[in-house]
Amino acid sequence: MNKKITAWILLFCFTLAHAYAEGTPKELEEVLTGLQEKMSKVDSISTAFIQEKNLAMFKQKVILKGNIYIQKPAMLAWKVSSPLRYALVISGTDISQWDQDSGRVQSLSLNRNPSFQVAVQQMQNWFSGSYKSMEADYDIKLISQQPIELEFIPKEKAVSANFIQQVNVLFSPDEHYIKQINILEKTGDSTLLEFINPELNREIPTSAWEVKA
Amino acid sequence: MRRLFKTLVLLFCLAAAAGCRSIPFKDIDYVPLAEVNPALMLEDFKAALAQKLEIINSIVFEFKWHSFAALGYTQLDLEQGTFKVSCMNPVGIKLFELEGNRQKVDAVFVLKELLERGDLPKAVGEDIRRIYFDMAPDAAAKVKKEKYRIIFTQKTGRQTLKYVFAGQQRWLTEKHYYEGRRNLWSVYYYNYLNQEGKLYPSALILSHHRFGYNLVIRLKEVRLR
Repeated sequence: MNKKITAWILLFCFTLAHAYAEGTPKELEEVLTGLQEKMSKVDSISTAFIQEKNLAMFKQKVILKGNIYIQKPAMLAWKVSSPLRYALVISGTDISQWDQDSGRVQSLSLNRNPSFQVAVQQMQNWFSGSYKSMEADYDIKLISQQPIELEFIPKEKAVSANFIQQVNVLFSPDEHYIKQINILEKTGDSTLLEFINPELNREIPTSAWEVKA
Repeated sequence: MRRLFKTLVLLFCLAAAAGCRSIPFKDIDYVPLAEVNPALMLEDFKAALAQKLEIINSIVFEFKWHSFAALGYTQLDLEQGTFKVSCMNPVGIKLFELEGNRQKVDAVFVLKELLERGDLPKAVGEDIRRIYFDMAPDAAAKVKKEKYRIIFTQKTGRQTLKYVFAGQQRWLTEKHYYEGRRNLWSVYYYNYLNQEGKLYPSALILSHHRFGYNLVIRLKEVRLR
């Protein structure tokens, strides 16, 4: 169950690549093609993040902080440092997760977890710039050009339409990486994920791939 | 030699009975309580307990050899007997959201996968009540003074609630629920946070002996209301 949930966040945050721009104007097509070309030149990203979860029921927010490391073609580390310490590391077909409070490392295989496999595959598509592979799941709108901001609205038949109302993605001025993702959920909650001081195409320290801190 | 063997067997049995589980919190600092007046101690504790809580906890759910961690945002009004809770996994995906009172629990949101695993809202609601509600016994509860502990026993038919107060601060350290002679669940309070004169349980374990699971809860943040 936990694997599915983790897969969902990967889907939310990294895999909007399958959004589909039906009847998109030429301008949007050009922007998507441009982003695809630029982002395909990025092989690794290491970035801090601040995740602001706004809970509609409480009119309050919970803030999570940590770091994300991505190395193409198939390595990802998602490390939360506050308010609890947690790590998720995906390397090839192996997945490990750890949290400080339980102190346990859980290992699983991508091959036996189709939901994870789909998420990782989509993540790879996204960071390799596979925008042309976008499918019929979202309507995409170009909100601004400088910096580029895209709005993704799930189509009625898309699975994500059950819980996502809208996703806005803001790119860096040089269009090489995502600066901010804002997910508005059907429940009224929203999640703002902001990437801070990202480093592109730099060697990622081996410690980043160790699941236990 | 035979005596040594017997001692080892006894130690093994004790360890097995305790589930061989290591406690992740500092143990209670037991002190003699001979001079303590139980009634006054109880009054002080009741007066210090926060009645309106808005807290962020980390929760580790342990069942057999499995465990997973989550983050909970909880709002409690102990005077009104109401609560609201939102629980998410460590990457921020909401697992469930509930609101309830002493009698009922309403699910505002439950992740589909969790719905397939029984009546989650009911189970969570009951655990919240076990942990945070009724943290002090009624005035009619029977008192027993031991050297290091003061125990209150409160009976309603076959149901018994046992409250144990101990430590330097003489706060509630254990709460046990029995049906007949069977101990169905226990809550162990290892620490409290004293913020602006109000007490918040900050390190605790709920052990559900009947269903065989533990909840290990750590207070991460208090939002004053």
